[in-house]
Amino acid sequence: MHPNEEPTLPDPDVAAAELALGVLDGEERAIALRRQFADPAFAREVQQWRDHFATFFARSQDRAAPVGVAERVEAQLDRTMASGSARVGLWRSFALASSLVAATLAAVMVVRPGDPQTVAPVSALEAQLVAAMALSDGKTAPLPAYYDPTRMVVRMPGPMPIPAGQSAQLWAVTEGHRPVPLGLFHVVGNTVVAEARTGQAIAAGTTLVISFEPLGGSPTGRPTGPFVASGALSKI
Amino acid sequence: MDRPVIRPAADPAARARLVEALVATGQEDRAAFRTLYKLTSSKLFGVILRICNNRQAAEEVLSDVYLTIWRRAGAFEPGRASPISWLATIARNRAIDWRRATGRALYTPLDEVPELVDDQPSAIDTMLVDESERALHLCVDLLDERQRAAIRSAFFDGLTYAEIAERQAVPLGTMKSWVRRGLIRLKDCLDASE
Repeated sequence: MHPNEEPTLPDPDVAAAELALGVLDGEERAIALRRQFADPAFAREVQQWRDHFATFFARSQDRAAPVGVAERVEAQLDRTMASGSARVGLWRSFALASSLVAATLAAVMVVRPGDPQTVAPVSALEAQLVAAMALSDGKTAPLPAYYDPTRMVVRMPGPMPIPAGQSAQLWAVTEGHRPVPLGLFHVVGNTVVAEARTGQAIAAGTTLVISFEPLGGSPTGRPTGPFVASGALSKI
Repeated sequence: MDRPVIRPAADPAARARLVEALVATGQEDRAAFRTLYKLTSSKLFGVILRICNNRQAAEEVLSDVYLTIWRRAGAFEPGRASPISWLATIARNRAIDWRRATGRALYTPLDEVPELVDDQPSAIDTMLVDESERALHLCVDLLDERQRAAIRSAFFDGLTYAEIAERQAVPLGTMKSWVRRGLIRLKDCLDASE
């Protein structure tokens, strides 16, 4: 993602189209992604190709949705709204969490933009880690990101300028390993919060990275969108 | 659900209804959400089923997609994105997530995939085609059949080069070459049409 690593490609225009179409994998994909992170013009071109390809949807065949799906979706919304949260089901739908953890997360993250509610006070401040997130535009001052291992979330001051039609996804990066996909940022009061749940607690020294991804997060489990901020976690 | 009325060109009122339903869904309007589902579920289920190639899984993905839409609708910006592209992209990404997570449906030969024959373009389709999007379609029609088939398979089936090559039983390098030449021609044609 450093400009010095910028690969030589026979035809970068085609690489943008290939990345947008989703045909690359392995090292070719990694090269194109690094290019996308490093080169805003290339990133714009990828987005233009995504928009072009989206028009293919006009030619996808309609198929009548199975009977009962609408009712099940509504029933799910009823249950989650009745439990005081319209978002629990969504987090459950990520199929990652025990219901207890999901409910805890939802209680923290369910509010919509504009809600007066803010993040609950953190119980164990000393357990938190903080990263100074340097923004890739190089102009804006770094922003703090707080990792709360009790709630397994990362909080940052809002608002986060997420492009229309995209999601901001959090990643954990340790030396020599692929980025581990974490959650998507959601507005909570005047902060933005992302779930940061992995198999184990995130350790000091881990680098947090934020990328812009297609709605719902990276479809591949690896970063596909431009890197917008990164910083290493350390103890408060 | 009634088949939408077939029209030769886009119906601005249909698009307005869709945008209105999506925006109201973003304000947690359940009636609008139901309308949105009626207007779009056939389109989204078609997108999902093609990628999952498994009806039961596609049904689950469809539920998940509409829960996601309920939650994300507030982020839709009518001036910046086509509503149906916005919705269909969520559906496509979710379906690819499912397929890659399960590793299923990768190696189904193309000719074993049931051909999903549609009778006529729906109102949603004409809406899409009319949204200054004819250019890509015209350009795609200029490609030779192999290029077009590979690019369409990548998009509609959510496949990588390696997966398309395997499905069509051609060497990876050959497949890449077809697609790259096709993309270069697409780019030239799109640039010329702007």
